[in-house]
Amino acid sequence: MAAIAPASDGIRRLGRVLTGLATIAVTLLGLIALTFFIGRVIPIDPVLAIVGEKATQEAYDKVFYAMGLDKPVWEQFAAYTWQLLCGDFGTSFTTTRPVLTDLLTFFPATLELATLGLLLGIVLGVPAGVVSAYWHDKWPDHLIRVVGLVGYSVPIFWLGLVGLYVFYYRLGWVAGPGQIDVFYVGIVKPITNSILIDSMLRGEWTVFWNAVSHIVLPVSLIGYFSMAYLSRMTRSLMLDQLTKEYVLTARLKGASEIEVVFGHALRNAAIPLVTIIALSYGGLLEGSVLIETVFGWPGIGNYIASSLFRGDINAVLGGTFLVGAIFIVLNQLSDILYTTLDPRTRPARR
Amino acid sequence: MSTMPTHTIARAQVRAAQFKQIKSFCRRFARNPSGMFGFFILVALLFCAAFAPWLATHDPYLPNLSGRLSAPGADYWLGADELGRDIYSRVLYGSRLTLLIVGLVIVTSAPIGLLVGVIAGNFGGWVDTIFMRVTDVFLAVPKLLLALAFVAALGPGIVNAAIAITLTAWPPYARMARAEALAVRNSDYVNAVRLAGASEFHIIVQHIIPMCISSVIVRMTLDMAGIILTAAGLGFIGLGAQPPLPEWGAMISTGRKFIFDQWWVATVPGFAIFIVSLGFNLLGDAIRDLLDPHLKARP
Amino acid sequence: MKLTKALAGALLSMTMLTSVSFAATPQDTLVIADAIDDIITLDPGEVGEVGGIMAAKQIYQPLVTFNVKNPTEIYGVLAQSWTVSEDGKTFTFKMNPNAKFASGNPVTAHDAEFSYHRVVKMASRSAFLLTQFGFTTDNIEERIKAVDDATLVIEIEQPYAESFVLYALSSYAGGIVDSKLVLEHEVDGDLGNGWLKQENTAGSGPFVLSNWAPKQSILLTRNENFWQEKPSIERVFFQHVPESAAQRLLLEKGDIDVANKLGPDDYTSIANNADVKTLDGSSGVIYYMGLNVRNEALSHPDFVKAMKYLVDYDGIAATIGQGTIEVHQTLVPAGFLGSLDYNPYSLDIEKAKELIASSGVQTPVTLETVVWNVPPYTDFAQAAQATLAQAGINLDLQVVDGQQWLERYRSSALDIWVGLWGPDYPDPHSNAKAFAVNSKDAPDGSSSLADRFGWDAGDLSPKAMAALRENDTELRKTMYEEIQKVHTDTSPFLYMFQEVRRVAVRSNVNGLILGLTLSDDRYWEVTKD
Repeated sequence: MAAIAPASDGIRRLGRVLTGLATIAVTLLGLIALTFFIGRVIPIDPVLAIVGEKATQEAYDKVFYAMGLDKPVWEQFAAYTWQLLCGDFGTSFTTTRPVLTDLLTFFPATLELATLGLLLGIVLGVPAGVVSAYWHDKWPDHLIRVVGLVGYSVPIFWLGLVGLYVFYYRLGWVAGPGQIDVFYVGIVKPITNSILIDSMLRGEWTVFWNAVSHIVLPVSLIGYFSMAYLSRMTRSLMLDQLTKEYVLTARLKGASEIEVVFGHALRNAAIPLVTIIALSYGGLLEGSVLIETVFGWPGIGNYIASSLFRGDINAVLGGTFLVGAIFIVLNQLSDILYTTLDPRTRPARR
Repeated sequence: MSTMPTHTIARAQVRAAQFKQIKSFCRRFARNPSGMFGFFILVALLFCAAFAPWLATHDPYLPNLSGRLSAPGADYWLGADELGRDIYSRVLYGSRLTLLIVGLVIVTSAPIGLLVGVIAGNFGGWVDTIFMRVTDVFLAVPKLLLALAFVAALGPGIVNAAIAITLTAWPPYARMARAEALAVRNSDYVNAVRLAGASEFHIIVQHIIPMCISSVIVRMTLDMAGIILTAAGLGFIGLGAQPPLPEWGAMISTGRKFIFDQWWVATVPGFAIFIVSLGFNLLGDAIRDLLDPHLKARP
Repeated sequence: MKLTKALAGALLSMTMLTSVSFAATPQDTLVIADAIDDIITLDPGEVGEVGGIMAAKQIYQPLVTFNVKNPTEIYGVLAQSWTVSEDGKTFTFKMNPNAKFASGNPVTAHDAEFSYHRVVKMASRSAFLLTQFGFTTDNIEERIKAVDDATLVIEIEQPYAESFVLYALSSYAGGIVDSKLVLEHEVDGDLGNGWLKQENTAGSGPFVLSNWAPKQSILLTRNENFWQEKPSIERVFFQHVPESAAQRLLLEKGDIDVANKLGPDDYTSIANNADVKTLDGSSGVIYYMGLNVRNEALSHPDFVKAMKYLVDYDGIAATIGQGTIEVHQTLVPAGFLGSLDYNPYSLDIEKAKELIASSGVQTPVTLETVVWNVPPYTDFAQAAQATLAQAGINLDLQVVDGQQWLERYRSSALDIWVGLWGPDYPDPHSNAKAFAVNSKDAPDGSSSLADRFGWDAGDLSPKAMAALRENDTELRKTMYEEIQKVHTDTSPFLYMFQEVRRVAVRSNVNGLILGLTLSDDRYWEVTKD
């Protein structure tokens, strides 16, 4: 069995990687095409958005030609794609900056929310799922399921509003909308554009704590939302494992309950769970529009949505491309992870 | 032909068996308390939608500027909004819109996804590749943004919102249907039918689609809550139903301005969304537990 | 269990600690909450949106300006004096010899010449403010000329009322830039646009730009070389806070000094807060409904008149407006030359029904109505929708985003447009041009709101142009008054309200001057005690 030709294995692996890359490339191209098409169909005149409604025809024409809108759509698309391949996302007219700069400015804010939210979701959700599965149909299970059910039934933007009302306005436990108090804006020179990390690196602890007080509420909401999802998935994965024969065998062999649950069942459930977590991370990144709207969070969701309404196509394309690309890559990564970690899906060796 | 009678007999037997199955399903369903609770919420929703004119205390569209932003009380049970309209009556009428959107999305997205998936799975080859790439692209675009963009392109409105949600909702059905189709298309009995000279169309309609139906139904009920939330989200951003329609998401959106001083304007419709989506989730869970073949197989 | 309790306790105490916010902004800084995500440039040659004009006005100075309290009082800023020729076509400005830019360069007539040429040559969104005087890229070198460092001569195509020309020069397109500095940074003949657009300023005004983070904030700092009396505050900070409720809370907590975008309800709820006060100013902004006469029903004058009786003006002003709007039914805003107290319409459903009957239009009629998705438009539209419905006129409201809202009326693809008009300068012509002059009578042939809604203003159009050329102020005033009465009675414009400009500030903020037109607020005289 061990006598396989290493060369052919290497080639096969390379082939798989290449196919994977080609798939990513084609999907991304489709993604650009779709966004581009939407951008063209939207009944917003990008020229008008730039020159305003009082401008003269001369001013209008000047911008119209400068944007290349006189050319056929496919030509515009080809030009855009080529630029993108060269790493040029174009310039956003609503911010007057290169879209890439904008993405680097706005994305970290979303990343902070989604990452912290997901971490909270994992920390709470996975143990909850395990507990729920272990005491299947007992009261801890019922309790966790109800909490989870509420989590994915509730409109998150509404919960955000109610949260602001209760914890910010009534109780004053957390800070209000925005990433930081107006007072602290501009104190920390950006390094990574993540206000939490930057203020820590610069040693501006008052700013850091202020930023924390702002992020607590939205992160708790996202965390709750992702906890609801993860506990449900963990529960069903664990239920699957706990009814398998090897668990019974392990128990018969005298393994402790902790060893059975964590050493065997959870270990086996971990592989699909990691996939699920990776995918839900992508979901959190894209699902941030509503939460960002409620909390006035200067993130990528806000950026794309506001650009969309002003006909700032470069910004919309760039933002969607970034989020879509992350989603696709996460998807492929989890596939790879799955195949490398799970012995059953490893390609059979002759 | 002499096969005719046996055919009819077989059909009658199948029908009887189906009836029995449905009966047993109902019996098992009745024993599931959370499922029954969800079912009860759905019935209540249907009731509210059907009898809204009789249950309402006010005209949901008629502003009364002097009663603007009244607190909940004897006149306005759940308060009044920024134009003095009764929130209780508006929420009641809003249930119709919720049902409309959910209905529209369900009857469009499931068939589209089913068709794409089944065709891709059944024919394989380049058809499969193209269809699945397209599906992947739709899956990769941020969902809410895609819906946003479509509504922006089509113009805001309740039907357009439903179309936009459909466009984002069909890919999972396609994936699921393709998986089922792949599993079934080379099974012995499908091959047997194929050898007997049946057309691919016949095979798809008669043999493959029915195999997918139960998982599609499970997915559909589970999806309904998600559809309600997405529709509310679109309404919240202002791209769903247009004023003066009492769409719940849009109502929250207007209430947002008053959240600190007149909390009821945003809170009441949000609560309605929560209850209904909870109902659909409970119902969906229960149906899945009962119908899902993978779960049923487990001891 | 113990652990989670401890954790929860820690989390709680942490947030409690951190939510202690500062009671006041620094003494030398003025913090303003506003919706500033509309800004796409700070180049004075092309600014056009409210936020951009607001910021540019603090940085660049015009040749002349006017007293906000009494707009007929026009005085020089960068120009010391001016004369107008007999035929009313040649304006000669003497520059103020003391004026200098933030860079230290003196402000000369050449800078003014360069700045005006720049606006016309860039053919930007704001160029119409100058090109309406007949300037084109071909003749601008001839028509606007610096004779020497101290003298600028401007020659306009046709004679206009003097005050009108001066008002136009006082507007945002008339900001003077430091030509030496700008030309040093010119790239590929862009007249320094790339350099001025986002990061740099070259003005002579009281403030200079420190930082602009698009869609987030703008920081202006005091111009230490300012040639007039220096502002007492060192920094002006605009923070993007789109929500009025959020602005109110920030203001009440003392996190900001000025809240620029509060809703009517917020003013009511801060009325009893001693730490906060409300400033009232006048504003030329008019809210109206434009009726597209290309629609069959709306082409009947009696039907249009009936609609004017179907809006509950007083009710809306009292409940929705709560003091932020006043009923106003003529085209010239109160406070401008020729403004008129003429409000003939009020809610009268019976009268409206009679008028509809005599118009011969069969009800019910459904009209496609486009509304911007922000207050107060949505509230106005819904309130009007309810009363119009009582006479069988159904408004099909389409609440859309700002860009689509503009797009829709520009392409005339609608029946009714719920909108506003904010004059660019405090001259009645800014409004008369928009509502009453058809393109055939406009010197530059540009189309106006009247054209957009398919309305032929008849002899109102030449009359409005005649009023513009009248130099006798009293006579000019009467001419506008006549135009307005006819216009209000016959035009397809359903004027509703004039905005009462309101801003809430902390009670220690003094000296803030609210502008007459959109975004003409003057922050340099603010002091904080």
